[in-house]
Amino acid sequence: MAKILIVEDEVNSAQALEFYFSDRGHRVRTATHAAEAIAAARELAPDVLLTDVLLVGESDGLAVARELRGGDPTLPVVVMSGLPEHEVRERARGVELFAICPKPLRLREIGATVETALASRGGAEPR
Amino acid sequence: MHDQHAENDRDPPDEGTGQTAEVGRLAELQRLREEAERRARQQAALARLGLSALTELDLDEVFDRAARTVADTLGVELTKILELLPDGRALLLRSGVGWSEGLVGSATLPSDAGSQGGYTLKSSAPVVVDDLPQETRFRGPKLLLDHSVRSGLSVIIHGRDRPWGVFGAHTRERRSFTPDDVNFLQSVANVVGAAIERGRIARELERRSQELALKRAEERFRRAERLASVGTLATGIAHEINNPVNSILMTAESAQMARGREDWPERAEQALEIVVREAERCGRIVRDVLDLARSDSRGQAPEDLGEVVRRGVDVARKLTKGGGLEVELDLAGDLPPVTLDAGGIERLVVHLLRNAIEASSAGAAQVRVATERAGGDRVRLTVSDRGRGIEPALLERVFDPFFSTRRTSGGMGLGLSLAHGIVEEHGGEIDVESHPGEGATFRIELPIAGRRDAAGPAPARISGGAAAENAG
Repeated sequence: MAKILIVEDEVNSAQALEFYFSDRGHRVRTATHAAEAIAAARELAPDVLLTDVLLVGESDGLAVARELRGGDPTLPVVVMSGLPEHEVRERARGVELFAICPKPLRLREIGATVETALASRGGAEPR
Repeated sequence: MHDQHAENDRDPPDEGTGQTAEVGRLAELQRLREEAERRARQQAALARLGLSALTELDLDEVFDRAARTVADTLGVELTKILELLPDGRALLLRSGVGWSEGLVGSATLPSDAGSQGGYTLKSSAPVVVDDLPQETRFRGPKLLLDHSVRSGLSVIIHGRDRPWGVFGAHTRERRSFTPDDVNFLQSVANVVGAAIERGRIARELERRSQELALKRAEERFRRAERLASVGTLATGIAHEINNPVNSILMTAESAQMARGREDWPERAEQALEIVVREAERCGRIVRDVLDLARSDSRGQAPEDLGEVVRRGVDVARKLTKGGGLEVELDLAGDLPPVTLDAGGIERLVVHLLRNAIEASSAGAAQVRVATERAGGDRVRLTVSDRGRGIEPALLERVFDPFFSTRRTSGGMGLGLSLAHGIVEEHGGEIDVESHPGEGATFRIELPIAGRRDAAGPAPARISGGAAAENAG
C-alpha cells in the first residue's frame, strides 16, 4: 500500500483514478487545485504525485510538484496532461518528472506507470 | 539689480545751497518718473509676449515676435536669437531684427570666446558690453563688427538640460544698459525658453501617440494572425475535447473493472450518467467550433438594435435560470434601424453576458448594457461588468479561441471568439478595456448600414486592458 496524491480538476476523471487506486489497496487523496493539493500533501505525505497541469483558477499542477519536491526531493511526479509534451517540459522548468502521460489516458497504463514510480522510490514506504 | 537703484533712492539729499539743490531734486524726480514708465512699458510688453507665446504653436513666429518686442521696448537697432547647434560648437542666428539681408537663418557664430554669444554661454550670466572695440573678455565677432555694433547685452535662453541659446540686443551708438534692461531681456529669454520647451513636449507627445498607434496596429495584426492560425484552433479543440474524452474513457474503464463486484450495478449506473454528460459536453464543443467556422453575412436586415439586445439579455437570463445576473439596460431611444443579423447579435449579447457572469463572483454579476450612437454612421453597444477584470498581459489573448482563465465547468473558452466572429461578420469592431479588480468593458461598434463589402472582414481591435473570463 502506498499513499497517492491525485491533482485533477475534472472531477469525473479524478473519481475514476481514485476508485482505481483505492481498489488496489492504496491510500488516495484528491485535490482540484494547487492550494488544496498542498494542504492535502501536508496531511498525507504522499509517495507519489499524480497531477494534471492546467487547474482551476490559473493554478498549475507543476507548481504543486515544485513545492512538494522542495520538501521531499525524491517524490516521483507523474504528469497527466492534454498539452503537448514539449509544453509540459517547458512549464516544468527544472522540476524532474518521472513520466508524462498524454490524455486521454487508460487506467491500466497510468496504473502501471504509478507502480513503476513507486518501485523507483524504493518499494513500500514506512507508514 | 534693483537694489542699486533702491540705494540711489535712499541717497541723502544734497545739502547744497538754494537753487542747485532744488534743480537736483527736480532732475532726480524726473529720472525716477522716467524709470518707472520704462519699467511699466517693459512689463506690459513682456505680458503681451508671454500671452502670445502661450497660444502660438509656430516657434519661429514666437522668436520673431520676441525679437521685435525687445527691439521696440529697449529701443535698440539689432536683436538676435542664437540657437546652440546640437554639436555645441556653433550658434545659429535663428531670428532677429536689423541684420543684413540673408543672415537670419544661416549665419553662425563660434560658441566660444570668439563671440559675445559664446562668451555669454561660458559665463552663464548676462553679459553687458559698453564698448565693443574696447572689449577684452571676448573677441568681437565679424557679425557684430560688420554691423558697426558698439554696445549690447546678451542673456542665456535656458533649455531643459543645457542652454538652448542666447538672446542678444545691440546698438550702434554707445549706450549703457541698466540692470532693468538686463532683467527685461532675461525675462523675454525665459518666455522664449518656455515656448521652446512646450514645443518639445508637444512633439514628444505626438511621437509617443504615434508609437502607441503603431503598437496597437501590431497587436491587431498579431491577433488576426493567431485567430487565423489552424494550429491554434486545432490545439485548442484537441485540448478541450481531451478532457471530457479522458473522463469518459476512465469512467467506462473503471466501471468495466468493477464488473462482477458487489457494487457493480451502482458503479455502472453512475458511469453511464457520467459518460452521457461528458459526451454531451463534447457535442457542445463541436457545435461551438462549427459556429466559429460559420461565416454568414446573409440574413442581415434593418432592425431595432435595442429590441435585439433586449432579446439577447432575456436569453442570457433564461440560460442562467434568472439567478446571479443583474442587468442594467441603458438603450438609446433615438437610434436609426441598424442592418444586422438579429440572431447573431442576440448570440453576441449572450456570449458577452456569459463572460461577465464567469468574471464575477458566484451569483453576483452586475452588468450594464448600453446602446448609443457612435461617430461615422455607426452605433455602439457597450457591455460592462464589475468582475475580476483581466491582467494586462492576457488582454490581447481574450479573443483567441479556447483562451480561458477559468477551467471549471461551463463554456470552453470560445464565447469571446464567437463574439469576435459575429462582430466581424457585421463589418464592425470589438474592443475591450479592463484593469484587474475593476471589471471589464467590451465596446462593439457596428455600421448602421450593415456590412457592405462581403469580402474581407473588417479588423477588430483590442485597446487598453481587457477582461475576459471566458468560460473554461
